Amino acid sequence: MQKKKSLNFYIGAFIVGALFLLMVTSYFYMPYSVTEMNLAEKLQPPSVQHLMGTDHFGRDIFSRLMQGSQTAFYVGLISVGIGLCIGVIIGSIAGYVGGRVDDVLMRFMDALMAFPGILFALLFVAVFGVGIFNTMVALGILAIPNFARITRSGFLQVKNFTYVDMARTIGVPSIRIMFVHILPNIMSALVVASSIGLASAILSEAGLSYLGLGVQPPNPSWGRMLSESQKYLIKAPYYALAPGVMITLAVLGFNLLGDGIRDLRDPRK
Amino acid sequence: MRYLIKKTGSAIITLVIVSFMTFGIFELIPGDPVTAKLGIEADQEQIEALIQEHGLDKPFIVRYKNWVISAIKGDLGMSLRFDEPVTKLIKDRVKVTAMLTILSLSMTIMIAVPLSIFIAKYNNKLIGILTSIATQVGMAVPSFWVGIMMTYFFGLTLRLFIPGRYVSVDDNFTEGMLYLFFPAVAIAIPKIATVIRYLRNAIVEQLEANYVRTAYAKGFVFKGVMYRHVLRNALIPVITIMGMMIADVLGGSLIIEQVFTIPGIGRLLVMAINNRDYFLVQGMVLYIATIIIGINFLVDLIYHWIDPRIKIETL
Repeated sequence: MQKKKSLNFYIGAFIVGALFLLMVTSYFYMPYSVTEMNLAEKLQPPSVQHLMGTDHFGRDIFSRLMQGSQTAFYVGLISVGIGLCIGVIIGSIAGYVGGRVDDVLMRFMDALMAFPGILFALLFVAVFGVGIFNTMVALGILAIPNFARITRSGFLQVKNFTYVDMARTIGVPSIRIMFVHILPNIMSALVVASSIGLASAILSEAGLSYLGLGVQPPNPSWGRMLSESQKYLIKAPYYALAPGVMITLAVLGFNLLGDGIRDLRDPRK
Repeated sequence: MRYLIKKTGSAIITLVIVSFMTFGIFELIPGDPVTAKLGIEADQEQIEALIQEHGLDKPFIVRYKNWVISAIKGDLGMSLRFDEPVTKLIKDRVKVTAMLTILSLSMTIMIAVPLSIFIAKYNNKLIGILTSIATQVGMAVPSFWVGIMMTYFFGLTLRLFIPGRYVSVDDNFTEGMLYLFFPAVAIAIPKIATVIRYLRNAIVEQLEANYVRTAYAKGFVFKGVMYRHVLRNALIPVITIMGMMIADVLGGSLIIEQVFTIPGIGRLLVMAINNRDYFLVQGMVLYIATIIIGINFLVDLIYHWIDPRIKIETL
């Protein structure tokens, strides 16, 4: 068998791996304290001491970016987790049971998809208030329809296979058929969707936090760093540069990783 | 015809669900809007007057029904903060957001379609790799960050516009459009990348089809084949993502308005959320969602009109 190759996968895995390492490191070591202010050194351009310069309170931007990666991963993973769990449950019920149940469930999913992502998230925080928890829940709910659709179409394909009929004939309970016999077939599609979902969750979190309606202090956030940096754009343009590059890298990494896994699974393309 | 009825039906059902969610979610708010407006020291008479005014004493379903009926009549209630009708507040600001959206959408199409044709025409390995790098990066950059960077380069460094000093197109058309140009580009960049990604693959795929070879054999040149045959087929998958794209562009302009301080509905919405102006938020969300559902409905119809092969059963 020919060995499959995917450039997307390697680049994606490299970027995600590097960011992950940065995130893990930040729990043990950061070059400077991110809470201590040092007004004597505020808005310093990049130098040997401060790789990416300092912000308006004299804090080291690189250290803050490291800390921000914690939030990006945390929000991304939890919200994709919420979307994945609920989406898979809804999608498998819709796909397995079919009929009326399917119609009603998927109609709700369509309605949820009719909201532009950011609008739903804004509605959600308007009602339940801003903060990291609500951001994750809002983005998690947003991710549900996509996972539900993927799971449903996977179920529709697989549920009439002979081995599923066999399992039913010998009396395997429906729940077991759904999650032990059918679900593994669509795992790879779900992994791909999760990776790409992580990318869009990170992007949405940054957008919400930029508007001041996402992650709140003291939780660090790349998006909020961008909105802070905008006030000092004339004096310190590099301040706005760094968080944007980080967001782009994270989104790019997870998108490429998702595409790469798909390439590896489906060599026809 | 059956298609039209079916699609209209599903658009209406979606609208009902969306409006129900938009209305219902506000029932879950801790605290009530009356105290939010009047403060805790308001006297009983004032409180009751406000409750009467907004009909807050009626049961949920009745209020939902009334809300929907008056919304259809074009009345989305009063803003708690501005003491003005929600519809008036939206109307004052919707024009600039609509212009921004249209501008950036037309930019996307005008740049992405020719560029995709160009890339597909000179398709080889190097160009393929360069294109996928460019589209992947383009899709990953946050548009609000592009906006900030553009503010720095074009606004602060090159002084092509003055950041933060919004000029209305009603006052000065050229300057107003110039001010909208940069935010429109910022929103368009990720969208251009997305369209190129889809369209290029579709064109390359179509170019290998048998009918293309036949067309060449009949003596057509590249241009004829491209515009007469290939593009028509290749645009079909692009139209399917068009509805989603319009929603995205609109969503993008909600954020980008903040970057460039454009007084559109995005700024209004963020302001309404910060002020806890619930009626305003509710009205705006319903308004924007309705527009998007309407656009998606139109896109579906166009899609069907362009490609009648799409059967109702497959929907």
